Parts: sequence; structure tokens; C-alpha cells
Amino acid sequence: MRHALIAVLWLALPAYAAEWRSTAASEFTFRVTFEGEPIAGEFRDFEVSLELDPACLDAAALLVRVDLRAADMGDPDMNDVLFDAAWFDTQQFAAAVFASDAITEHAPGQFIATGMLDLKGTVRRVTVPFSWTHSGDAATMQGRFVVKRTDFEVGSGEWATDDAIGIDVELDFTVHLLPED
Amino acid sequence: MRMLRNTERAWGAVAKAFHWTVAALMLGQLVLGTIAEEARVSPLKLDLFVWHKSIGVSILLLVILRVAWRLRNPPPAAPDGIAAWETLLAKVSHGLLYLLMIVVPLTGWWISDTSRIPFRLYWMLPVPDLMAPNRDLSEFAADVHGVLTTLLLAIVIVHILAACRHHFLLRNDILSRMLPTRQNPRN
Repeated sequence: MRHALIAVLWLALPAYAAEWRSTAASEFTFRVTFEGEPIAGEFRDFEVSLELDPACLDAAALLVRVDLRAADMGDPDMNDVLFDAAWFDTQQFAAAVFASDAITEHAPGQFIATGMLDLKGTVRRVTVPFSWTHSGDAATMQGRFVVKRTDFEVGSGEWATDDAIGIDVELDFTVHLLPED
Repeated sequence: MRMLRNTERAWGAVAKAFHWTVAALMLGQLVLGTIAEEARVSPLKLDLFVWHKSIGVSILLLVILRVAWRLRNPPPAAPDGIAAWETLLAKVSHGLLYLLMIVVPLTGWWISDTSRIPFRLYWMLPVPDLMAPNRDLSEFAADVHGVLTTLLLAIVIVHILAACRHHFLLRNDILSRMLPTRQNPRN
């Protein structure tokens, strides 16, 4: 049901009056531990649309779509594993989608978006804190949050422990936004 | 009391300990490395590689200490009746063994250092990161590591066969004087 709702939201996006749309200069990276040492990767293809008027947060909305097939750990062998059924299973689930249902401002320029993340067929509530600055025609949102990969069965079966690959995945984003045409 | 240092006739306890410890670790590394390499991608495979790399670094450090010890402790003389060419051949192959015992772990480090896979010694100690990740270089290093390991294995087999020849055919004490159980003879 929620699936369908998010899909509808996504399909309806062009009609949705978002104020801001991400540009290609945006960055979205992930970090996890690999046998106790940090290792990083990058989502090379994602789109963010943001409706944000600090004076009217009731109408605020954040929608993020990440093409998991463009996830990149910098090594073809590691990427093959990443796309495999036990991990992102990109054959079945090409994209992850986050849709906020509320955005609050807890300090000037500091926001928290809560909403549903649809990842690998599992939909769960996540909280995404971000800072937002805008000057003239451009805006930037920046943030960091942690997702437990096992909540979404990313790294399932024998990988579902922190034995080799850590459970907590730290996500960092710097999104450059321009007003939508 | 057991002698720590070598004498003119016998290996000391330290040299024997180095010999057998490194031999056992190298055998373990061969098995561990082969299983890790062949295993399908799994948490176990990643764990095995951490063991393989950690033990490899340990062997490298042990062999450096071993060489330092050896430089200060000349090996016992060959028994009478060993031909000069045999002594020379033994020297060359022992030299190659020492060289490969240092170079093979170094090439393993080279693979690890140029790959994107992070590594912490025994899950505890970070190791210096010397080179930028480079897939081509890492694969080349892996080939070199494989070839040199095969060469090392071949020379170890020759080493074992030569020791057996001395023991069973020539009936001298070259093999038995390296055994850990044997009491050092008085000299």
C-alpha cells in the first residue's frame, strides 16, 4: 500500500510544485565498516526535490530518489557484490525512494525531515536532519544520518551480522539545488 | 641447558625456533591463502583474508628478525665429505629462500595496499597506506604474488628433498641437527 503511495507520489512529481531540484554537482556518499575499517561508496545518480519555505513548513516536502544501480564503491568486484541479491538486489529493486511526511525546523537553518524510506522492498520510517542555506538562485542542503542496513535486509542471510560488514551505514549528502523551472 | 646461540657444530635454540615457526606459518599461509582465494564471497572469505594478511605481515617481521639473528650467528659447518658444489648450491637456495620469505609477504602487502579493500592487522592495528588504489596494479601484484609463492613452494620442496637425501641416503646429521627435540652435541 505504502509502496503504491510512494510510486504515485513519484509519478506525480512533475506536477508537484517543488521549489527546488538537485543539480549534478550534488554528492551522496555512504560509509560502513569493512572488517573494522571504514570503507566508502557513492551514489552517482540521485534526484532530490525539495519544497521548503521556513515560514510555512506545513507545505514542506522532501522527495529523494536514488538509482542503486549507480552505486559505486570504486571497484568492479565490490560493485558486483553490492548489486547482488544479498545486498541491493538491483535486478529487482533498481531505486530507493524517500518521501517526507513532515519537516520541522529545530534551529535556524537546521531541519529534520521524517518520512518513509522504501529500500529493497522494505518501507520504514527514517529521520533525516539537514541544514539548508540559500542565497539568490542557489540553495544547498547538507546532512548526515545513519541507517541500519539490516532493517532493510541490505546484506541479508550470512551478511546480516556485523561480523565482516558493519550494520550502521552512515550517509552523507551535500545537495546543490536550483529553483525548478 | 639448551644453547640459544649457534655453535660450530649445532644450531642454537633460537635459530631452530625461527626455522620451525616460520615453516609452520608458511604452510598455514599457503593453505589459508588458497582457501581464501578460492572461496565464494562471504563473511568467512573476508575474515580469512584478514588472517592471511595479518599472518603474512607477522612472517615478514619474524623473517627480518631471523635474518638479523642469522647475520650474528653463523650457521654450523657442513659435515665432512660434502662437495664444494653442494655447499654452494645450498648457499644459493638458502639465500633464495630468505629473499622470497621477505619478498612474498611484501608482494602480498602490495596487493592489499593497491586494492580498495581496507585492512587492519588482526582487526587491531592500522597499517601504513603507501600507494593509491589502482586495480591494474593490484591485479599485477596478485600475479607476482602467485608466481613467487609457487617459486618459494618449489624451493621449499627442493629444500625438504635435499634434507631427506642427507638424512636417508648420505646418513649425515644435517636434518637431525635442526630437529627441535635433539639435544645439542657437545663441541
